[in-house]
Amino acid sequence: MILLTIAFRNLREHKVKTLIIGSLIAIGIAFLVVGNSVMESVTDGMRQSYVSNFTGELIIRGATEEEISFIGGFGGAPPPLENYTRITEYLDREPGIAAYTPMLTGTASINKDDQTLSFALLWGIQPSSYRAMFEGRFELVEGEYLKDGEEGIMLSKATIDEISEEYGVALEPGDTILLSGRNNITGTKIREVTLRGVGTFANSVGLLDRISFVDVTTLRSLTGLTSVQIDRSGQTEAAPISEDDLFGDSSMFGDALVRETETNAETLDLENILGDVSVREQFLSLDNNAWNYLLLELEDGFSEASVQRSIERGGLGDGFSVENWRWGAGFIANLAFGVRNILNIVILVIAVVAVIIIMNTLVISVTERFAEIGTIRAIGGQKFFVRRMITAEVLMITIVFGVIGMALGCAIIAVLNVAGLPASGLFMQILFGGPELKPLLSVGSLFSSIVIVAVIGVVASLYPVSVALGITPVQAMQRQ
Amino acid sequence: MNVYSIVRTLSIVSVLSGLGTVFAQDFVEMLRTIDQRSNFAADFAATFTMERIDPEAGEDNRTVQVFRRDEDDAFLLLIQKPETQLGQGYLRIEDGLWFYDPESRQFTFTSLSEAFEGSDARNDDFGRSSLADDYQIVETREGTLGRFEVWIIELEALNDEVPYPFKTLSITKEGALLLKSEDYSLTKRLLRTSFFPSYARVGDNLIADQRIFVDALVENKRTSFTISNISTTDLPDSVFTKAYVERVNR
Repeated sequence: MILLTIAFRNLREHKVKTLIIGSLIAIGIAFLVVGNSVMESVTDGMRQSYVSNFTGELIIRGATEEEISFIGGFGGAPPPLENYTRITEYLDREPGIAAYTPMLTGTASINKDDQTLSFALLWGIQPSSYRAMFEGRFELVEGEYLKDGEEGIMLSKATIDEISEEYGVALEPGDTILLSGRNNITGTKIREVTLRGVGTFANSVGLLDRISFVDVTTLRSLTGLTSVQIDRSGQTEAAPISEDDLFGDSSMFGDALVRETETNAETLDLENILGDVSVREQFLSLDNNAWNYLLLELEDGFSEASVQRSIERGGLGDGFSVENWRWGAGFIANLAFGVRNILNIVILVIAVVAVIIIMNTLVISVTERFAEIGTIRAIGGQKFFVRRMITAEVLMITIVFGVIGMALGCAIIAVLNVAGLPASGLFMQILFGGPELKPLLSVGSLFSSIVIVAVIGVVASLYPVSVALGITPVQAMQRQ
Repeated sequence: MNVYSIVRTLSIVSVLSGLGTVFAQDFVEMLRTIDQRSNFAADFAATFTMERIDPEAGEDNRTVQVFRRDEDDAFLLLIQKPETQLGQGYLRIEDGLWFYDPESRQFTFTSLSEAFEGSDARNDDFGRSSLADDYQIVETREGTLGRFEVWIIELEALNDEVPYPFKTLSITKEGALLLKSEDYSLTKRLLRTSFFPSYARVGDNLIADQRIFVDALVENKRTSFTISNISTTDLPDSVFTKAYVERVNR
């Protein structure tokens, strides 16, 4: 008790210094609480949004080393899952899997009446299992949902609105449109589809706004997922050619630039110029088991990591990878977690600065109390008493102002939760998953605040304590 | 007159005579000659064999039957190989370029500026040549390309319909053959280099029967075309119609 009394008296005597140090700690802790709460709300909201709307908790995809993107845009789609049937049989008996649905992704241009109207991010789905897993997530504005085995497209409302604004074309359910996409197997493909419905994901912005659902047969055709696949990988690269190879003294095309040519005098068989066109049919039959992804919903109580490990070790071969929602969210999730890491670095820097300032101030304080500490030692005060006296002083200041900082942080979060943090611009909207963010208090940030306050207190007291312990009664009297 | 004066005078005369050579050339006429020799007064048909080498996507080959009627600025490209794309076609009629997919029996509008089949060639590369009409000359100089003395001519587009706003051509001094074209973006970034190392004489025309398009943005990516089975027999008007493209695919 005597220690706390001495510590309190000393802090009261140095009000200005105490307030400066205390304010620094309080602001730092408030910053930590607010920053971490906001970032946790962003990442939790993002996880919730992606898991429940787009990705499920786990994603099984075809293995590839190429850059791929689940949402679309940057990077292409992964190769189809090699052992799709085996994987689904495994998922049917694997505990912890509440539901799963297969999916394909691709892109196409939207054409109507000889006009290219827009560009669509297409998700090819199995409507029944998709709707069962993501019930109500794609809200219909017009028309009806796709049905199993039915040809058609459900266009995103953002795409419909853009087409209406830019071209004055009002697309309605029942209209037919042409989708045109290019792939490396069957080249450019055109498919006519019926617009079945128009809808939107709640709080979707950026690329998510552009996702449209199409029947899987149409998307398999547009992306060239035929039964006969052509493997172009592993082919040898040609050596680079130089201008000397082409135009030098030993040109690969000979000495003469111009050659006399005999024209083909035979009359072209124009009506049979392509030969027997029926041969292409065998190359164009679609692979009905071709899916790029399987999206998984887990039962409560099963962690993503444990189910992921279990599938990977399930003896299903190595033609697939299991990813979590963060992979599915792609760069936007990496960005959010990156910002969170930067925030933590800033907090660390603030903590280091706080430690240095507290340490310096306490060293000055200890120096000013040379006689006092010397006298305590002279009348029998042990070293541990002096150590505890200084430590109590530091802990008192850090705990009191740390608690004030936490309270301040909680108050700010409460205000932000009520008022909402507006997202300025598309980038922030993507990050917030909507036009505003209503952050919730992060319990984790409160715990980490307590830890940080304690660490600052202990570390900041080390040097002043060593200075104080170095004072002997003789030195104190000599100074006096 | 001292030695210095003699050397200086000779230098000036030499430079002026060089400039004189440059100015003596009518480069617009040179471009017009290239256009005229490339464009056929009669109809033209040939087989184009394409070989695309892409370090990322691998090797890809196409055999394409080409029909051209330069007088109408029309062409038809029908893919014969690979079988997966048999019958797909590009039909340029009036001011439109149409792509045809025989599987769905549908046409869609496409652009001359787009890459042909994901290659380094543009759809525009299959049509008539119009360098003199589409570009103006910005700068000319002399140079060498391999064993050839060439004129290097920098061009700037006169309209926004051409795929490349800027070009730098290398044209042989002897015979005015276009050997090389560097094709630039609006920001003057080199996008591709086209080489024409071999020509076939067809009557009064000269057509590059070897064309190599090198991607300037992806290392070691290039597309080569070899042209064979050239025919200048008159083609019926019906060839340059959607109906013909649909008919040969039945």
